[in-house]
Amino acid sequence: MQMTDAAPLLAVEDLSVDYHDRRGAKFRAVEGVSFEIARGETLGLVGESGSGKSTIGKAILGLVPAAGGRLRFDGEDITRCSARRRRQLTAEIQVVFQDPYGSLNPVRSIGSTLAEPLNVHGPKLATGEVRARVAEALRLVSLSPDVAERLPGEFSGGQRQRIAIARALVLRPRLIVCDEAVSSLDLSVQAQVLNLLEDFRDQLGVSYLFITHDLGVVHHIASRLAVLYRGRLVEMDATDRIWDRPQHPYTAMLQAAAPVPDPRLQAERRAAFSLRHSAFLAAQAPTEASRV
Amino acid sequence: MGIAERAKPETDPGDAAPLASDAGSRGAQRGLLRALLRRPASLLSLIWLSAVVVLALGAGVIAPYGSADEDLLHTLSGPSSNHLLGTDNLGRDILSRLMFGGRVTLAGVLIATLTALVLGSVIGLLAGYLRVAIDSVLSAIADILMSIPVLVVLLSVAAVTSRNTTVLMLTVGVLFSASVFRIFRAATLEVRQELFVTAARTSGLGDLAILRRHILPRLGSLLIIQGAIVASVTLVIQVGLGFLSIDARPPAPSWGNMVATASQTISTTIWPLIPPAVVIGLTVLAFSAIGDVAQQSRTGRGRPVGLGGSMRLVPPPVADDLGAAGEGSTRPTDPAASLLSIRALSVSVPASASARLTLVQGISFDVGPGEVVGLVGESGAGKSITARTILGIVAEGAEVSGSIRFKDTELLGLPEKELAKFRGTEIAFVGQDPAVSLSPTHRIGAQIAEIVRFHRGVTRAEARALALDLLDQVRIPDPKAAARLYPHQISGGMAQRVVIALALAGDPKMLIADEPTTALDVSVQMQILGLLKGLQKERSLGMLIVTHDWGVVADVCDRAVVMYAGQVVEDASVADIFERPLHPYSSALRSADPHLQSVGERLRVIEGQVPAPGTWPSGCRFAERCAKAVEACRAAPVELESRGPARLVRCIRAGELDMDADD
Amino acid sequence: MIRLIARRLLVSVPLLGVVSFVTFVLVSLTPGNAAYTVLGASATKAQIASLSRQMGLNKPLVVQYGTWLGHALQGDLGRSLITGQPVTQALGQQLGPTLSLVLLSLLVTAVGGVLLGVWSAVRGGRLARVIDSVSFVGIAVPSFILAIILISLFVLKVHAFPASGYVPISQSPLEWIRSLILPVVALSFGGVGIVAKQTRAAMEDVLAREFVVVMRANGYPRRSIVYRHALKAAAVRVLSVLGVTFVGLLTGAVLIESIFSIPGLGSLAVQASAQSDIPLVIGVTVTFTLLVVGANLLLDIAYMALNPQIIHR
Ligand SMILES: Nc1ncnc2c1ncn2[C@@H]1O[C@H](COP(=O)(O)OP(=O)(O)O)[C@@H](O)[C@H]1O
Ligand code: SF4
Ligand SMILES: [Mg+2]
Repeated sequence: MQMTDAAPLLAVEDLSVDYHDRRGAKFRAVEGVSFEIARGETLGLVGESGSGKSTIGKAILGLVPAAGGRLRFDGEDITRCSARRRRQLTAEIQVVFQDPYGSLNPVRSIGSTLAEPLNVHGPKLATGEVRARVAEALRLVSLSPDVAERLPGEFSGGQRQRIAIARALVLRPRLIVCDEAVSSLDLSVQAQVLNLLEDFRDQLGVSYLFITHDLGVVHHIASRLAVLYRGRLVEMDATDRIWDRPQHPYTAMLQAAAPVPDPRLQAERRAAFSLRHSAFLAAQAPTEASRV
Repeated sequence: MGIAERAKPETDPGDAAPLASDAGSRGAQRGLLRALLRRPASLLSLIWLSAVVVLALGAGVIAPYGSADEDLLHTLSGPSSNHLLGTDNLGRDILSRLMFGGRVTLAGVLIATLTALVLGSVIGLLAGYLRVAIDSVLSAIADILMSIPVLVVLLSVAAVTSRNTTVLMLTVGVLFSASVFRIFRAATLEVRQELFVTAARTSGLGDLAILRRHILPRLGSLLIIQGAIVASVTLVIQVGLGFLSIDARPPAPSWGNMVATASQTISTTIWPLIPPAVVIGLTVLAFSAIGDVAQQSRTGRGRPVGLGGSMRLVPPPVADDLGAAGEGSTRPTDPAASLLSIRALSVSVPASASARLTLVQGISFDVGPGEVVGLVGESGAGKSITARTILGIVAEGAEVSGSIRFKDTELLGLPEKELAKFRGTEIAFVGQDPAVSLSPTHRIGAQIAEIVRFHRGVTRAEARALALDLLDQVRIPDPKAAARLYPHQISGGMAQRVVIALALAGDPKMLIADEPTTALDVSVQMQILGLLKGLQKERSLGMLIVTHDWGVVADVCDRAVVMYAGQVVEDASVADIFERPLHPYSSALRSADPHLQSVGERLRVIEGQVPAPGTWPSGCRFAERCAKAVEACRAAPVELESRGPARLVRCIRAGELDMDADD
Repeated sequence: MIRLIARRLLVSVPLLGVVSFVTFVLVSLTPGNAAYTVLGASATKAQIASLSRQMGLNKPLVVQYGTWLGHALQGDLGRSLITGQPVTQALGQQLGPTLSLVLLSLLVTAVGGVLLGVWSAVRGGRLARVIDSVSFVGIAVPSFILAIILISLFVLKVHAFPASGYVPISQSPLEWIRSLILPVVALSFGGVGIVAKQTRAAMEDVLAREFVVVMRANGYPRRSIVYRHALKAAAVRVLSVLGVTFVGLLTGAVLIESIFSIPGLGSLAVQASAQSDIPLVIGVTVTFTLLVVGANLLLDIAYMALNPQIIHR
């Protein structure tokens, strides 16, 4: 028992994931990725679109199979666990998707969507209790309990994302994969949602894998960052250290890419971005050649 | 029609219920049933169908004559008091024969439809959901069944079974199950890929639960749609069989053989043909009307915006209407010196049959030649509506008032034809989502060349060369190769470059870009913004950039026009507004941008959200969320007022406050 | 591209096999056998038995089918039991009228339906409502009823057209057209309605997409947006409706041909089925199926030409 306490909550070891196109040709989306997430920790997984971030998230959630490597959750090897065990695991590992419009069934009330995980897990709850847990989850994300009666169509993107977070929280999971969970929201709403996520980490001890392309947002919430480029990790360290002195040219470029709301600073950033972008391209060129 | 009225009391919505109930979700089905009962077309259809069914079933009791009673003294008579719908060549009562004949015909339709629905939906669902290996075999079988010429096969079946109607219609059902199968398979595949199904899976639901809770409800309405379609088609086939006298054995009537009988005497009178033709026609119509209504309630959409109606110019709103009237005069900038000058612009759309919804109200601002203006605010503020209205692209039924002057021309009120001349050549447009901004079935090069040719009247070859040149100007490496690609083959960033290229094809003086980088990665955003800025400088374009991101404003804009709940709340130079925002919203919105906030502290936010159109308060629209709000703010509409040179603010406390101080 | 065509052809082989076999089995089950058909009701039992043996009717069904298939593969579909004419010859004679009728109707359906559908989607307003009502009526009135009505109006009352019969195009192109006008109108009316309705739905979906706004905002001429871009994007859906409509036209042709006494495959089918003329029934069925297979093949090629996502991944 004591051993498991010391072990990380999630350990990803040398993970590879393949996709197959329609003709059956193999395409490696993730290659040899390893990282750990401790209890109550937020790891930021950063990279541009197509770099394989979401694929790693899906592998952890069991939505795509791992082609190689291991996934350990709380010491247990979950790389190839049974469908049954997978369903049980959903009580421990949850997800918030990017698209708040697609992730809620438009014809089911918010309440029925939130009650869904409660009804499939653990001892059968009484209707009253389910309702109470749903109301509690809604309160956690600062929505009033009577929201449960309404349909997703009546809510804005930000509100829907809160609802999606409430669904992720209702089972009190230990790990939540946030796959670009704030990227489609207004920046002002992103701030609201980030605060919410921080609160839950403090109050409930949840860990996050926070996937994003925006280094300027993730450094508010993640204590450590892993930077992904073309399916491989190129850099991983404490957020402060990466932010102060990015090692990999790709990280350096991403850092300069997030625009700041201040004309003078932004002008500096743009200049930095140009330099770092060229530096990155220059650094890429030889690797590119060796790849082909 | 008399029959329908007589039957009215007996009809009820219960008719459609058996179909609906095996679909699973009560909620969705109830919505569909409500739609079917509310729309006159489907309600009348349900009534008609119930009437037909009741009359056919009750023919033995209700019908005035037996189906074969001959009245040789009155053959081929028109309607009379004895024979409401006249008689046929043997003097048999047409009304009675229609009732009795309905039994054969409707029973056939029922058998065929149920067979097709049950076979098609169950197998289609399994093939689509389980995606078993046998899926491709099933699809091949469906292909085969759909290629079989129905009537010809039926003729052989008829010969074999000596016209056993049940077997015939079962065969029809099996043949038609193929198309039902295809629809259900495709729909299941589609729902399966919905994000909410993945979300259900990650909530721990098993296959069966997902099927029951998320997939079946989506398909329930399909069952009604397909049922209606199959019924209308099989009805025609059934009648056709009757016409070839291979359903009911004479003298027993069916709708089809009544048509055949009538056709033998059309040189004498056409009357006997009319009643069966009308009954058949109305019944087919009823089925397809039900299918249509179900379809509409499923997709739930009216007419599209795409080509939109041309807008309607209405007189400006009356004076008390929230300060829209006086605003033009308070503007200090000289409209003559500006490229684009918008004054007191309001846009409303029909919300229901009687009510209108105002989306933006009293918008005024200018864009000078070579000036870059940011239209800033959170989603729902009305930025996109404003931007599109400038180009005359509005929703069907929109009413617009105010003024939009471009150079010396008033654009509002120009007929669509005239307005179209400005698009692309004077004002061009770049949209939010590059992935869907290009015509999917044409090569990139051809799309650009087409518009180059149209705008500049050059030859095909010249247009192609100019298109490559444009691709080069938007920094696409290897324009020649890129020109040959289709939109689905390129990345979002590249697609946005292509859109910019085609926007520049007509050499416009002004560019409107609606959130041009929101859908892109930050690193791509940086490049696209750099590109826009570069092109803007080179061509000294006037530019209006719609954004929610103060970082974008800081990066490329000269002026910022801040919008909130359909109004402009602040209009200032970028230097001023970043130095000292005067409206609490401008300040709060910028503070809430995570990019400039210090790490380790709780992020500053604006609590709450933008009120939707129709729910705007009568006082200051921001009051609900404003940290500086006082009693007076909610009392009356707040005007946009001049606060210093080239600066407008809509806040009664703008003068007394230092925004960055407390809060 | 080649793969898709190959797949379609691969599906076609079992299709033809299944259709011919099923028809074969069905027809063999007919009460009274072919020998009975040939000899007529007055024949004695012994006569029938001996002819049956001669025709191989006492062998197992599969063997009979095998024999038929073997001959069919060499282009010999047997002889009509009634007239003794080779089936291929009978089919050849009747193919022309049917093709004339069906292809002309397809043309009218496609052009009329697509144009009406596009107009109704683009214009909206009153025109759309008129078009909708027309397509509604088209759907409601079965072709053969319309045919009878047309005959009673234009033939019996106005004498504007020949009542029936068919004039080959080689004999007189003008009379050919005249003899086909009413049948084509009757046959294609409903199809026009269906195609118009589906085209409209497909066009409305496409016109609601963002690229239409972007093109319009950048000055692409309306005509080009509608016909060059939107219609092409909607084409796959329109084409699949046309495919289904074609099968429907073949079915309708059977009835229309008998009403207008057009000596086509449809009339042949009705007559052969009524007389239990087995080889002829099978021959007609296989021919109809071949027509559908050919149409599907053309459709597939058109899909690929119109939808770059299939070939250019
Ligand atoms: N055709 C329409 N009918 C009704 N409401 C609409 C229509 N188009 C947009 N709206 C609403 O108008 C408001 C402003 O929309 P929009 O201009 O897109 O805002 P922004 O671009 O600032 O996010 C939103 O609440 C939106 O839902
Ligand atoms: S008017 Fe009042 S409520 Fe409105 S922004 Fe100014 S201070 Fe805030
Ligand atoms: Mg917008």
